[in-house]
Amino acid sequence: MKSVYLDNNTTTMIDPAVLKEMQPYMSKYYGDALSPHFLGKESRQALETSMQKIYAGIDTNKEDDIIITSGATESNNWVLKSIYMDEIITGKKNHIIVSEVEDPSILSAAKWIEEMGAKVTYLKVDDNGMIDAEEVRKAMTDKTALVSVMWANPYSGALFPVAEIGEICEAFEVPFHTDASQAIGKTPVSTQALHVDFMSFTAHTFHGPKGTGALYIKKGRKLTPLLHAGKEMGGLRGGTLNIHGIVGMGKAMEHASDALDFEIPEVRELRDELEEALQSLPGISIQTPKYRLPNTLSFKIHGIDSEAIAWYLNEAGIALYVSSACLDQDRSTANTLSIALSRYTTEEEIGYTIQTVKDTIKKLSKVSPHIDPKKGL
Amino acid sequence: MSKADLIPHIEWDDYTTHIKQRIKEPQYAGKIENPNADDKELVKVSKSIPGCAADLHLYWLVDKHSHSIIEARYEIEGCTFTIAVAETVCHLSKSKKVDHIVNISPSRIEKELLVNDSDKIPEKKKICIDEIYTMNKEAACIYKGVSLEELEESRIVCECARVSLSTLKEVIRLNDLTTVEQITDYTKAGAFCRSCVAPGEGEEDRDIYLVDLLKAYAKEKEDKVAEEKEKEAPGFKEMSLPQKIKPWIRW
Repeated sequence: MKSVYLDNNTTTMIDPAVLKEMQPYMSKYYGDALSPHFLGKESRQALETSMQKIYAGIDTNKEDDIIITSGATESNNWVLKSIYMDEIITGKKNHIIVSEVEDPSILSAAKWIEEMGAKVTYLKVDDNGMIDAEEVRKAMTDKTALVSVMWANPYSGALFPVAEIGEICEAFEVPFHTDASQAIGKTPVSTQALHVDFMSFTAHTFHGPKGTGALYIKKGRKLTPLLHAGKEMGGLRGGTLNIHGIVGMGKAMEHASDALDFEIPEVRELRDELEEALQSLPGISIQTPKYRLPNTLSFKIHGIDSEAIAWYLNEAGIALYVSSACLDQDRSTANTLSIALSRYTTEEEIGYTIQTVKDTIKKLSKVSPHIDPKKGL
Repeated sequence: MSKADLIPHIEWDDYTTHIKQRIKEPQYAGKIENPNADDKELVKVSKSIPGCAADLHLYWLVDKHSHSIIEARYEIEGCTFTIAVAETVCHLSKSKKVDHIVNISPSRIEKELLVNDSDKIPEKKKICIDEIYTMNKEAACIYKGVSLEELEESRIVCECARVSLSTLKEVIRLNDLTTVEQITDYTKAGAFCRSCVAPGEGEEDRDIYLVDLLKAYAKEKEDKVAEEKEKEAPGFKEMSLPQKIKPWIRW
């Protein structure tokens, strides 16, 4: 069966070069980075090299911290729960601000904080999936402990105004956290170019391994240690370091940032070709946020359930993201399909997808009470 | 929690080849136009399935002389499982007499969708079957001009002896029956393949069994006795002092 993977904002294929770089650190250089012996030294050297690549990839000052975690979910939870323990439970503050379309790792943690008695403001998105930075200013109080807004939304592809939000947070002296999982490898990311205090990311969204991510912490910002153990990660997150994962994330980060200039125009061109072809479909509604990730296309067809479209495409070997009541996914979008390309997506795959989507809609329009199968297509 | 809760479960994985086939090659999709003929009647039922976002229309074309469903079709804005169920219901209804529709039960629909004994319809999806089954019955009610309750009473419980639910209920009540053998003596129901007697007694599964009717009648009698006792018991105001304080006295 043909296999076309267009769900790259959920997770990506590991880059073969990344996998190759990781392998020796599972089979040959498997020493603990804290061990004084020669294998430990190999791990320490790999850690040093990889951390340099990660710092460079997100343009981070060496005075700041990048703490390796298991992924963005862990990083997001750490920030919110630490803010709760350090600022809210102590009575200093009682309010946080998040967007209503954050990842479940933010929304579930925010809900938990709410249940514990604090106030949470959920910022609304408009019809095009955008957030107005001014809404952050309006929601601020002197008791606000944190603002957390993602850099980019994986389903609509909306790029949120993180620079403006960062400035507002700086003016109110409120820490700003962003989940940059969808930004790295798709748009330039610099922790120095904008005001950000905490930033989460994960390697598997930019062709790195699953199970490895990080939390950027600006110098001067303090968080309660996540895992009390040894001296790893400065004592903030103890436990034997996942060297092969860190090596993989370093290599993937290097590729993601180095290839940005020439890969992104190519991916955007393919996405636009797909978008243009789909626009002729009856009842189609394409979400086009003002600023959008170059690889993402979100749409729905009026009169046809998105789950049905996704099922037919899946049977034809096309994998994309679907939000549907029937699949019971804990996501903030309803009845939409989201296509996310990667640098591995080919012209031929896009051609096959265009034809398969058209065939699927033609078939399902016969089932739908809202589409006249004799019209369109 | 248990091991099963730790493994993600996607309902598409449970789709049998029968379900997939019905989704892939829909045979009954589309609307039926009004025939404008004296001997045919168009019946249409529309519904939104709660919690499912499905918008469903069911159409029948019925021969007014034979009361047979000449054509059954549907239109859906809904998920793939509702498409498979609507296809199955139309397939089972086509060429059947309207009176027979009440016997196209949820378990009959499930049976059409499953392949092996180990196959199961996901719990969450059973509502789709129940809703489309009810729509099919509503179409029968519209055609016959009866209520759902009246239609239900006309359901055939014993297919071999062709004995309906209303007949069985009436015979049990009138003769105060307490055993299956007594029902068989009076009506012949349960005398042949025995599928309608109790689960596992015959070859086929049924939605209503004779033992269930007996249980329901026994319960009805018990409730009646309890109700009468309650009526006879004096209210608190009418009680004597010892009666009023009795529940609090510990001897």
